[in-house]
Amino acid sequence: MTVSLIGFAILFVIAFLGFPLGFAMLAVGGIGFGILRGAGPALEMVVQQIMDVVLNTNFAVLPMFLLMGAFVFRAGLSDDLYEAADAWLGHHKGGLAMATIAACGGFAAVSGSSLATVATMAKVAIPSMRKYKYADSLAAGTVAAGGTLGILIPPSAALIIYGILTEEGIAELFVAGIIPGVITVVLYITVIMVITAVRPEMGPRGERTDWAVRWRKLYRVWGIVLLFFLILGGITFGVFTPNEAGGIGAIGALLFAMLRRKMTWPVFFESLVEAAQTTAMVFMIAIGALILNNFIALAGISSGVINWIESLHLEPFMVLLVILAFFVALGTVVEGLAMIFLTVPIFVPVIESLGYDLIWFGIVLVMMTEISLITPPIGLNVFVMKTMMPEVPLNVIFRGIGPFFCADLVRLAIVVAFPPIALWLPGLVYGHF
Amino acid sequence: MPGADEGARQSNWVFTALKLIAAVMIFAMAALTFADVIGRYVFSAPIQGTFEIVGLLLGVVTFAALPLITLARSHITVDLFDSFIRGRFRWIQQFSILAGSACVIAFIAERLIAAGIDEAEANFVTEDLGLSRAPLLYGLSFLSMITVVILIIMMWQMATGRLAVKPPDMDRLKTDPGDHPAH
Repeated sequence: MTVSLIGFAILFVIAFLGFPLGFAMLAVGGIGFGILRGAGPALEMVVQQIMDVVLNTNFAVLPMFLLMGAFVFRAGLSDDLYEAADAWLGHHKGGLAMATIAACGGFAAVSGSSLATVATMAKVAIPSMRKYKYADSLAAGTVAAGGTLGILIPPSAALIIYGILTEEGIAELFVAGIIPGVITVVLYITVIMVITAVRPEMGPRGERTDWAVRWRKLYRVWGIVLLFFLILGGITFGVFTPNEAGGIGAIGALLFAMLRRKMTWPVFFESLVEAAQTTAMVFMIAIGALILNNFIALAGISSGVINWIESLHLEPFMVLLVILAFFVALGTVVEGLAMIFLTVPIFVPVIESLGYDLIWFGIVLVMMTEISLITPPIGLNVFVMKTMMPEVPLNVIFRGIGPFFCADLVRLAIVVAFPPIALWLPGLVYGHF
Repeated sequence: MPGADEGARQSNWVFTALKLIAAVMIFAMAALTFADVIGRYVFSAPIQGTFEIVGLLLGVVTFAALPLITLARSHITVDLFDSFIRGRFRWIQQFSILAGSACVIAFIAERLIAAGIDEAEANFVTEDLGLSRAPLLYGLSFLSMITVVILIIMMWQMATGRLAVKPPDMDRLKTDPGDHPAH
């Protein structure tokens, strides 16, 4: 136990000092394992973990969906998505904000990057909301919160990483994310409806678009909508594995970009290199996290925590609440994927010992990750928003996010209180919950 | 994504070659998977060994991109205190990060060679296609060694003042919001 505590102290110090997280985990996990079990087994374990990640076909799902995101991003889809959503929703009170949520959801789902979504949609949606005299707080809050949608809605990089670290099925995780994702969109739109019902001046009506134009605008994005449903449907009904869906998504998005005449050789090459680089970044941490996992398991940290929790004689639900509160607190300072990598090795065994389902917890953890992107003092989405609207004070942006943050907490409470919301659909399809 | 200031130095032929390898391999992975699914459902003729080949390609993609992200200094970090480290301390921090990364990656390179030797001695071949993975493992080790060399060159450049200290991510985010692809 002493070795493990010292190991953790070192890990946190070097990670917080800016040392690459994956390398820090690899070093601490490998050396710790070596101290406890001897150098030979440690060397063996390290190489096994490296090969289990980088030569594992099941993990090819990540680069392929990243590739799809890179192609979609460069296909210039954001304007069309927003215009289509605007044509259908813009004439309602707060309609432009609702359209922003819808377009963010669509864009984020296929691009898989929260920050790219915020940066892209802000350019499209903010000028339009300004034109109709929307309150800055509502406009900024909508885009920053809308950007978080993509983390949960499959295909989601965060869920893939959780699947890699816990060895849970990526297909099950994707399917489990569908209903909570839809609930998020509904809740966000409800938030906008409530805000604009109470204070109509914050989100005036836009112009009504006639039906012919609405269909024409929708037609411009049909390709990507079709691709999205093809992937999701294919995984849900077991027609393809997540890997195969990734291959279809990547090549489909490439064809889509070519049809829109947005694909040139340099852009194509750049997309490929970008996806490869992000893959390497993520895999380096995944390797480190898995090596650290081995050390943690050997050092008995999780079992120590589990014993301690049992000695407190608390209801499992109370323990869960404490863990979730810890996650919200952690999320204020640690962002996005780093949160998943840092917490999974320690908390997943605890959650399992409490009798909770790990697919369900994956969804909960990813929702916590989304929240971390918009909570002060460090919320990456908020900082990106700030760069897009430099004249709007940071506190106005945070104020605008407030209602969406509350909606996030409501959604978290719903999914925590009723696990079937996440587990019903995968249970129906894969049938073992 | 490399930071803008790093762009110029990536024009070197080594990096062009690495990018080319990573790009071709990742595209091959997607195209092969796509062709396999189409083959299976449309022509009832899946491509034998797709599953295995994709796994091997994945290794090449990862390790070919490793030197690129290392040069761009875009490994994922927890940047909680990062923005507070400035001036002289920032130089020491950055230099130690390069040195530490070089040690870790050199270790990975050594491990991959050892694994290759083990597999070669045991005459291990893959299940479906009967391929020996040893040459691949040596190749991945070689790519890691290139990364170590790059890190040593970067340390040298820092020591001689030719490589600027990387500003905190929060500062960079202000100029290039798209610079955090992994989120």
